[in-house]
Amino acid sequence: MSTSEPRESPLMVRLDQEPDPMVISLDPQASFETLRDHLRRLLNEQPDTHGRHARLDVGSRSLDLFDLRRLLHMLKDELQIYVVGLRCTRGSVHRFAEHELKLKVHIIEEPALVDEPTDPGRPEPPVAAGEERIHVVRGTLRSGAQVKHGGDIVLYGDINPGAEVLASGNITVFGSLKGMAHAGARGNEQAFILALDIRPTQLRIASFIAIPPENRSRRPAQQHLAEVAYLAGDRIVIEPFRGRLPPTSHHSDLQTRRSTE
Amino acid sequence: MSECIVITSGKGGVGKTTTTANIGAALALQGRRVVVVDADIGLRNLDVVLGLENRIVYDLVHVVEGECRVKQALIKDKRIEGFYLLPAAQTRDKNAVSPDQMRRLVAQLKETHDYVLMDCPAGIEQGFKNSIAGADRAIIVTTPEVSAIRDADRIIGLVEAAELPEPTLIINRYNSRMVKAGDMMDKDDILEILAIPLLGMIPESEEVIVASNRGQPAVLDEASMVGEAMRRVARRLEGESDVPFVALEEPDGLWLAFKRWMGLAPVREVAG
Repeated sequence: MSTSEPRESPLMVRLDQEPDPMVISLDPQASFETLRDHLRRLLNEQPDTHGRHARLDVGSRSLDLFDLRRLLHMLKDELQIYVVGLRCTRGSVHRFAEHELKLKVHIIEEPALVDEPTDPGRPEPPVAAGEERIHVVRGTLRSGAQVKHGGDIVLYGDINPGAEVLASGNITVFGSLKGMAHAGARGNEQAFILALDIRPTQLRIASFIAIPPENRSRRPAQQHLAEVAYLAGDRIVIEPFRGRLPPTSHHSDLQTRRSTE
Repeated sequence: MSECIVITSGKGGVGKTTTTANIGAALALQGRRVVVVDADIGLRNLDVVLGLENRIVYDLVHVVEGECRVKQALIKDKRIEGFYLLPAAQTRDKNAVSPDQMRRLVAQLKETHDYVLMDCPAGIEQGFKNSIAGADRAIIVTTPEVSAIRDADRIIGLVEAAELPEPTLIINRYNSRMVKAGDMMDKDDILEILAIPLLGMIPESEEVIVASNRGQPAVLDEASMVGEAMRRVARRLEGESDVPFVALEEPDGLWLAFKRWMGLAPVREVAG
């Protein structure tokens, strides 16, 4: 299983210094790590860019909010480049970027990308745009496996500890959720996670992260058919699923903290 | 029909090498022609555990590079009829061989042996890929620890991705006393996560350390519980069904204690 790096191209990152703020364009196909390295190299070679403001053009690229944050931090901390605006397609990251990162967002229209499930050990395609579509996964995800989808994910099987599922929409698991699930990965705070049994290593909804308390990891057999996790205010709550979405009543038993990085 | 089985775990130190040595020896004691292959190039151990270290002349890399014939590199175990070791090179590393070369080597070994047991190195890199290349199926070894189980789960995924049939599981260092006290994960907890058939449960025992230091596989000791558990794994591999698990048996009554005292029953160490 050799991971083939995409061929290096000088066009992966383009820099236009003329306008103010200057414009940094990222190739929508390249992997996040490749882009980050290219960006770092390119800007290091251009010391006169340091200290300037910039607008980031990610096009149809689907950065999830964690990647976007990492990128902005790198630019700011290493190169003193301040990103003030973002140019992207509708499905990509705009909602989150606007609310959380206080970026001026310019929306461009572009069709959704195609995506597919990934084998463990393979590089993953980026999360695609288009919130309506459902991606179905058959079988248990074992440690190290990751599924990303720009829409809802339905999985028949368990999500084992060490496996990750990221959806820009909702996640439904016909099995036990023991690994990590991130619903609303691009900032949709209405997203929910539904599973027959929720005892994850971590849950994420939009920019919120929850870690189950110690006593939750080993519970007696479920009395109900399924559980649902959703965001109530600034807490992620898990409760028995009674066939209604999103649930109105809530009792909370997860410690939620807002992601800081 | 001969078969190549890879013994793997992901995590290091869970007992792959000891398990390989013992299952191999047990199968040979049952009359099979067995070769155990040390695929841990650069960090070889299987020869030491089997007490065959000082008889190495040629190794796996020599064979693959054509410096000698397979037969010249095989070390015959003098204690057990039909039991052979193909040692790893100690002075090279995993990149010294390729999956294709391993596939050819395994095919060659299968011509003259009923079982080719591949002792896989820890990790998921080149050594792992080499080890599974020629394998017909895999045995996953884990201990009742969360970290080992996590790695085992990942390895099962990789074995499935390599399109090998469903692997089977050996739970090593199982301590019934600790499980009863709630201090160790029990078999059902482990199987709930890994969800593959259970091939063996090996009780935790200090005798293994002694045996391994002496280069004497536990299966050679009739009184050893670990040896008994390993022999049962071999019987299950041979297709025998309804072989009870040693580590699960109820602790002894007075009669068994008496038999043990008389030297008529295996001595139970930590497992209880």
